[in-house]
Amino acid sequence: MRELSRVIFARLGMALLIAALITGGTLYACLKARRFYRSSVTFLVKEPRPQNPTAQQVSTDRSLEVFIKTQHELIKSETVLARTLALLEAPDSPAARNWRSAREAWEKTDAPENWTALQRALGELDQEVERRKEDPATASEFREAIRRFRKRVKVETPGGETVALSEVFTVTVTRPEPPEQARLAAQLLAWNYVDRYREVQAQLTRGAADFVRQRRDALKKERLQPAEDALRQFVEKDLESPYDLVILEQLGKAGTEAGRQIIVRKFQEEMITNDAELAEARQLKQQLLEQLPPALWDGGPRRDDSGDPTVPEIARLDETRLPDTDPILTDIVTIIPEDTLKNNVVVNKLKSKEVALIVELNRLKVEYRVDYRSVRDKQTEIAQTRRQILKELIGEARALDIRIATLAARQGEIGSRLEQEQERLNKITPLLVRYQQLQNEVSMAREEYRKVSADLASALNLQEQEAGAITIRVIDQAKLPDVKRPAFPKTVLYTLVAAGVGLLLAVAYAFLADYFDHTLRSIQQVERHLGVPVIGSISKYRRGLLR
Amino acid sequence: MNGENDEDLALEAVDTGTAAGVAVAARAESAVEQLWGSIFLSPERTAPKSITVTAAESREGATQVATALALTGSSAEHGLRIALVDFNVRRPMIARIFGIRPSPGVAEVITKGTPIDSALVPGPNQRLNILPAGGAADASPPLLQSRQAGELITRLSADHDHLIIDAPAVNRSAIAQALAGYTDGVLIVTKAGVTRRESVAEAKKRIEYAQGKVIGVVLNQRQFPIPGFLYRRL
Repeated sequence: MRELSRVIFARLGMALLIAALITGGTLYACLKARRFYRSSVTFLVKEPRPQNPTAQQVSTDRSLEVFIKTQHELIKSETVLARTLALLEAPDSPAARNWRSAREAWEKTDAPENWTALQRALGELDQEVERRKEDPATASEFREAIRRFRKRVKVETPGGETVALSEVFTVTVTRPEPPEQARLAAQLLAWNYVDRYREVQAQLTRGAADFVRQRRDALKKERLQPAEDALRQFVEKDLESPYDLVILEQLGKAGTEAGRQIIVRKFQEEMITNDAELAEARQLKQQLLEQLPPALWDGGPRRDDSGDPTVPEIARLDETRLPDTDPILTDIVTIIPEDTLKNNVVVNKLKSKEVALIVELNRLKVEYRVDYRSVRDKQTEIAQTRRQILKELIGEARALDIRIATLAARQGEIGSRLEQEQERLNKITPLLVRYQQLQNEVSMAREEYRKVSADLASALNLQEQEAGAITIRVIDQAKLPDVKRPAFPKTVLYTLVAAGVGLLLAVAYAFLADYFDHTLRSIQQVERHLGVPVIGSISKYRRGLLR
Repeated sequence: MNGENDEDLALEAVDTGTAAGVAVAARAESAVEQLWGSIFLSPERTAPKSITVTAAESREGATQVATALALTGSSAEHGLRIALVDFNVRRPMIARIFGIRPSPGVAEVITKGTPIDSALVPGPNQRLNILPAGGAADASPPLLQSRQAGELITRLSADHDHLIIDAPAVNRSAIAQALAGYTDGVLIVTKAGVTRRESVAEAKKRIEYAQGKVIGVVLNQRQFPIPGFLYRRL
């Protein structure tokens, strides 16, 4: 212990000088150095409440960490720093003035038009930055300024720069004196960062929606419309009538051969029906005519050249040619076919009347003689009824004739139509493949278009969500730093540290000097190095030296 | 000589830069008393009759120590007859310190055969005799090694209780080395904080080589850098 003290005290003067020089030098340097001040802005990351179940939740630790790191990069990005620096260094340039007024307007009301104006101002600012960067006179200086500025911007979250489990982070800016500069820089940086964040966010989401929209438009222009045009052209030019389209549809639905069958069968069925009706009509006519008294033909042919029964002339029933007393009218009871009775109401009534009259007549015949007037009257009435019946029947036969003719004609018509139809089918069938291709193309394009439209809708939806997804709010505005407490130099701290270092160096000096000093200073040294006893020592300074 | 002369001696010594040594000598302070005791009053061995006071390098204070020892030994307290011989022929100091004639001295006795008695000068008190260096211009080591030197030492030893020889620096001159063989012991004076230990070791080696016996080292102008109040507590 004495040895150690001796080492130090032996060179106390020099040691103290060293310590004092270092301490004093540091103090002097601190007093003379350029002062730097620090100002900071605190941000709060605000996430939307996940009210919408489809909204993505970003509040996991991991994604928040990524988010904060991203903000860190964004704040220190060239764009943000360069803008801020341009505003700081040339606050009176037209771009800076424009920006300031736009920013103030935006700060007051965040209307979309204000945002557009601010973006325009930012664009001008970027041009100003570009100009500075490219002008050889200022380029290197400006770049250097950005580099220095970046070094003096710090982004911190509570618990250190790397820990990001907080929704709060602070941006601190250090600037050379005066202190207002620090506050201004922090304020401008905060604004520029928030605006930049918004810009980037908008660009990102707009990009996705734009991409999908472009795809949709391209799809419409390049696929859907050409396909539809081709189909329309096909219908207009290659098909003769809209009916062809129906046939094609039918063919397409049922398959080519089955489709053909369906169409042909329709005609065949029609024809069969027609034939049946015709046969029925003929039979009825035959029955009807067979019941008529042959005298009515009056010796004329009962059948015509083709073998069809002829209808007696109706004039034969005129009273002049057929008096009421004719046996045809008095004796013959015409049997009327059921079908005719069913279809012809008049015949039916007349028949009933005839029956009633006959019953009446028979009653009268029992009571009276044959030539009794009432009997004769009845007989006349019966004859007249029968004449009417016959007239009706002939009329009926005539009508059947017409019907038969019509049906026959129709039969021919159906046959020719079937032929036409088959001809058309033969013509159209080859078109079917092409029609189906076109149809297919159109429907596929439509399907795709529908899908992309859905994508666009969801992208737009997402854009909406993202735009309001994470908002960044300033909690603490930049404050004016205390003039007396600069961030650099911290005079008291530095001086204390320097004093400590100075003392250490002084001690180190003392020991080193002692180590390299081979002169003999103490009894111990002599005895250690020489092995000779010290038999006496004479002090340099003694009290009463010269008395 | 009386007390006033002592005072003068001291003052003169201050002027010539040897203040400490002279002050010590003049006052016969306790440090020198202790030194005297260590050399001559040791119970373990017989006291040396003659000692050579030298140093490794010049200007270390050997002359002052020799002078102080001589004054102490011859003081009334000890009452011994002491002979102080200055062999420092190149830079004689003792005559100047005592204010006596510088020659004839050692040089004359050895080279010219001058009788010792006529060369001896009485010191400040009756018991002290001083033999100055003398005209040293032609004094040379071969002569000093000669028989006369031995005879001189033998003679003076016979006449006095103790013989104290002030010799030049060991590493500067061969004289001290030569004298080491003739005397009973050698005292190496070392100036604290100035003389390097290698140089002292060299001196010691030379003396031992010359059959001399190193009694010990005297640390001259030793400093006590630790303040007293602190020193006592450590």
